[in-house]
Amino acid sequence: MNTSKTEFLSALLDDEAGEFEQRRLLDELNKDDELGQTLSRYALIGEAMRAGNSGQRMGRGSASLLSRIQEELDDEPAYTQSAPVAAPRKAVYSYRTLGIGMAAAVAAIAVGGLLFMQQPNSNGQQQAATAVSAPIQTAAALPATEVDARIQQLGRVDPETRDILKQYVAQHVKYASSTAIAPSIRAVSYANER
Amino acid sequence: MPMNVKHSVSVAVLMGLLAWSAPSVADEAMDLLAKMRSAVHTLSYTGTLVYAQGNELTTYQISHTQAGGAEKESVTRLDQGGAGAPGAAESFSLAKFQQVQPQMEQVYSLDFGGDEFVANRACRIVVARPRDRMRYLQRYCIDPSNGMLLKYSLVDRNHESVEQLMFTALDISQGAPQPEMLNKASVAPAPVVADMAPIPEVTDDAGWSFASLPAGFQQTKRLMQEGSNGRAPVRQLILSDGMTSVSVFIAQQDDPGALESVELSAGAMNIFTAEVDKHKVTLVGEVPVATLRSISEGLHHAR
Repeated sequence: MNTSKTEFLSALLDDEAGEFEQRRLLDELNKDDELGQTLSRYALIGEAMRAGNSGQRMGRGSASLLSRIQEELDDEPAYTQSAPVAAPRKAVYSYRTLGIGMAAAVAAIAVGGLLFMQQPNSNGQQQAATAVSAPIQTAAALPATEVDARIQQLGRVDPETRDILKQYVAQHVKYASSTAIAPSIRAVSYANER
Repeated sequence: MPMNVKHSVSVAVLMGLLAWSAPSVADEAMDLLAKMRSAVHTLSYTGTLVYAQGNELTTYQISHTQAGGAEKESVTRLDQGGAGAPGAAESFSLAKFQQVQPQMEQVYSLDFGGDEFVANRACRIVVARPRDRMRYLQRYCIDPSNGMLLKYSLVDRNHESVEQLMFTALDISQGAPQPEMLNKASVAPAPVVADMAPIPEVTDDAGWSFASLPAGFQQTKRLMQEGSNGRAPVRQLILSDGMTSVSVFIAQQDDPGALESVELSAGAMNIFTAEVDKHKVTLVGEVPVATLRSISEGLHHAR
């Protein structure tokens, strides 16, 4: 991890990073574990300082997060984050998995060969493939693009409607969501929308 | 051996290989998904994650504890700006996930991707690819050793990510939360922690049914929710395709709590309202708006 990355993290946490930089950060976070730890540490420290100031955001809005941290460290007790890091390990897969993978690879090569051999008569196969991948319910019948284009933004909803929607979203998350972890994050994210 | 016999044998061997390997991969992917769904309830963990909704990035601290059969989870947004309420934190109990449903295979194809390294842990990618346009592609990166979800994204039909979640730091403990985990959680504003709430399930359908539904969806629950602030109770019908779900809220048209017509999108979660048989219906789910509209068109009231 180099200095520019930490500055970039700081800009991101100060909401000064653009869309491109945000996407780039996600890629970098995926590759750089140390950067991930740093982001976690910055976010925790920033939150601790805000909490330490009775919930008020630090007044020096123009200063970067890094400089604010350095200034605040003189007055604040040090917060430590002892993050025990598990030793990197390789995923262990069974021989059956490997066998399946090899079989799939052989099959893929064989399919490629077969398709190559039968190229002159491939019309029928193309039709069959189309039939397999055809949607069970034809989505083309729905004007999805038009519908999506008319979606309003959250900020345009009146407060009473938003209150009802938040209740609905919370109930959906509690009783209906079927994906792991994301429902909680979605709910808190939605509740924090202004 | 004549050429046509060779050809037939080759095709037979090939089809055999495909028939043997493809379901096995899907089965293993399904097993890993099932393991993940169980792990998020049985593991005790605390961590920091980045959540991307469209172009907006936010960081959260999540803490989940499992001790003595009691499950608690708290989520705290860490990068809350000054305009937000100080210490704003909410907690939501996760719904008990249903088992992966058989009809899921009709509308998704499950597959393994490569391996990644997220939050200093190895994870394996599982992709649930929709067979139509009525749902999003789901991509998970799961630690195969314990089933923990480390990275997750929903991708729309334009191949654009509508929602991403990725841990940047994660501690997992097998039993009760360790003291250092609690100390770390206390650095952030103290979240309100809620236990699992009883499910207000009802058996009476009150005349509501679906004449048609998008492929793969079926009704799984009927609930009656208390109205808040003097509002009338609201009926909630829950539909699922095995991987994602949709809630249909039904309110009386003249109820002060009934919504005006609105269509909203917040990352993966979409909201759509419609009028059905003199009732105000609001649909909420992690599916495209077109799917919500299609579901609302199939709903009708018999009484």
